[in-house]
Amino acid sequence: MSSDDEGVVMRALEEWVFSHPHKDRPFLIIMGRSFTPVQYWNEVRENEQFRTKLFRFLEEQAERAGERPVDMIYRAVGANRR
Amino acid sequence: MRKAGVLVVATRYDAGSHYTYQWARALQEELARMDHTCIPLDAADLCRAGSSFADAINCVQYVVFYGHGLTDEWTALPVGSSGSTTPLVNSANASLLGGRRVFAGCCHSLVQLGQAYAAAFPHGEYIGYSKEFAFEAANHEFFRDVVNNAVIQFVKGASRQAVVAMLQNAWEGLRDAFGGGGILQHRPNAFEASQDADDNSKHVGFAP
Repeated sequence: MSSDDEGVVMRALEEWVFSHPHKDRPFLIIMGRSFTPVQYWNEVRENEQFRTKLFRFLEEQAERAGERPVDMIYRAVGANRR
Repeated sequence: MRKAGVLVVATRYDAGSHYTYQWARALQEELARMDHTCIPLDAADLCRAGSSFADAINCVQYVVFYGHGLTDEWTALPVGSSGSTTPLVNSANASLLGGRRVFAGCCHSLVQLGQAYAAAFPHGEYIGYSKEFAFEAANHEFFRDVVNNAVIQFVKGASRQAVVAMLQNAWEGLRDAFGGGGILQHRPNAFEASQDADDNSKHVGFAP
């Protein structure tokens, strides 16, 4: 993913977390630890390995679906507002 | 249909196991509806109850565990004052599983414990995860259905290889359902649910 695309994804993720209706409730359950949307956002910003893994997945999934990596995040922002 | 005996052991001491405990109860109900013998037990009670776990294993052909795992254990209780977890089973007492067919729905269950099981029971069948097992809470029912359906196929007699192949397909299908153009693409947090399903597809496996 280009650095421009990464910036677009980060801005979309920020919009997702701050529009989330349950931003302090665990949503990602990795058996043994969990993340609220706010904790997830902090992890994406501060943990390069975590962020790189997310970017790589978004890129691969976007390629499978024939869309941009950021589109998955925009849909989640839309889901927050429904 | 061949009737089977299934021991379903689960924990429920934090956010993650709160959900997987519900999955275990749903599995128990489904197995009972199919007229299988199903023994539901709480791992926290079992680790304090002497021979109850071994007694229960004696009654069944299948052992299912839903909860937390480390590379060398299924965890019964979280970290306590001793600074360590309390295991239900670890590689030192893997023989307790008695060669039963095992489905370990927890993190890292294929690593040391899976290998210890394989060494103790070369003709056994053990399904688990080589790394972390993850799901997204707002969509946990979809993850539950993948896991529980796999256990049901295992109990119906499918081999460990067939069940793992089915699980890999099911996780990839769920990944794409949450992805662009998929039927679940507009669900809350779908991007993370899709990534979790993708990770699970890569980490599921079997031993020996």
